[in-house]
Amino acid sequence: MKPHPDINSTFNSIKNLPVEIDYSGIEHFVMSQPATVFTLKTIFSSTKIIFMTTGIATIITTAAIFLSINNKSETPVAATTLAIKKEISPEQPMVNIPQHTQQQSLENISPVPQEKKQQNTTAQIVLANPLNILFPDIAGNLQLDDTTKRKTSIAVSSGSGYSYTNVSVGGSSNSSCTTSVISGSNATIMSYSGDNNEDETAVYNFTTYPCEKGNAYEAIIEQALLADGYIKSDKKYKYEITSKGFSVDGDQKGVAARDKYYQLLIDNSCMILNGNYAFEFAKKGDSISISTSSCD
Amino acid sequence: MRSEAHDEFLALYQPVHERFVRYCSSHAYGIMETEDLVQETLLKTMQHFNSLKDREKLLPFMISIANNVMHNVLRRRKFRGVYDEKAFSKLTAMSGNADVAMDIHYLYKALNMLAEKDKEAIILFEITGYSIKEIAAIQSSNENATKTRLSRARQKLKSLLEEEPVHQIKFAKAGQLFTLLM
Repeated sequence: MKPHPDINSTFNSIKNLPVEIDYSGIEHFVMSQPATVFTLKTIFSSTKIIFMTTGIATIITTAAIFLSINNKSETPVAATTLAIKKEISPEQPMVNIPQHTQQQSLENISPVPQEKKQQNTTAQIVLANPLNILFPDIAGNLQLDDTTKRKTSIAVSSGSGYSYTNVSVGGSSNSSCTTSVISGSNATIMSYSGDNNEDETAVYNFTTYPCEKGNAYEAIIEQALLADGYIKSDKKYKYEITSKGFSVDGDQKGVAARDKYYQLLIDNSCMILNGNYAFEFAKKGDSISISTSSCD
Repeated sequence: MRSEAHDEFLALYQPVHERFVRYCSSHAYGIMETEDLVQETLLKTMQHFNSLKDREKLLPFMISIANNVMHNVLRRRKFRGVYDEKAFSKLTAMSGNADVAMDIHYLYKALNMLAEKDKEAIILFEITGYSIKEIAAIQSSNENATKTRLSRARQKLKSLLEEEPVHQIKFAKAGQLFTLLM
């Protein structure tokens, strides 16, 4: 045995070795494979694409069917009415509104057929204190000292292009808080209800009562925010008007600014804000979110 | 189940058969069975045959696949370079001379101690008979770099084979001690 094999001669020895596997063996192996082996990877790739396309198409179709069924089964106004109707309790304070409009609201509510009530997507959930979890900013403004002792209910409703959440924290005879959030591409406050007593804490809800001023405040406040330099783009911004202050994109503004924007809101919407309240408007692209909160 | 694809593949493969198997034998020695490497490479080549645009480059294509197969095998193995009695027996039978078989065995073992690219380059040059230009193309390198790589690999091989005692070569790589038990 040589201790130091010569590299060149060893390489030559390797070259002179017979081929370990003869060609006939390879030919046999290749021929034993099905013809599909040459297209197997292509088939798998195509199948993957087909499955992905089919999956996406199925999701879109299901969503389209679901939405069309939802639209057929309920009118948005009636659905919203039913969702809110459940939430209004005798103890809950009402919003200032002329008497004749209340009657009009009731007239509009009454013709809703019984079957449509059953198709409503409202869910009632009882939680310990979801207000602090869902809306920490608003909950902070509301100064809920004893919310853990209170009964809390949440109403969730959805329709074509919007979703609505109403949170009520109540239980004691002399206090209650309500937070409502509507968001989505079709989110808009269509109407309000309440009573005429302006000393009462404001609570607004969606009812069938049409608001004459509409939602003019949205565009007017947006223009004012741009003009004042509070926002740089009308695509994404958020402002909050509360009983204590005014903030844009989280930045607190002065008292003068708060008074100005409060007045713009009041003058160009049907909202009446008394007591402890918070109104938040958030816009992101085509979707907006309107959140109102009030406490007596 | 003979098809046009089978015929086309075999027609292209037959001229490169010997070089391909020699490459696999040298590359797989002591690490995996040559038959396994050849079979796995053939199967993968057939599966990707349609993606081979230049049919004249079948051998470099198969060598790349064989390298990938080997790379995966080495990655899964905790230790490599362990003496393979079966491989040595086969080598002895093939060479018909125990001394020659032992020399080849040492050389293969030393090859396994080179960096993968160096090992690949030297097998392609010394055993498969590729030119420096062709090796540079296969390794996505340039000719000067390939020349340097070959020279360095030969030097390393020489020093490994001259190490005493040749029966037990210890080397460390990636923080582990690999021992060749001879």
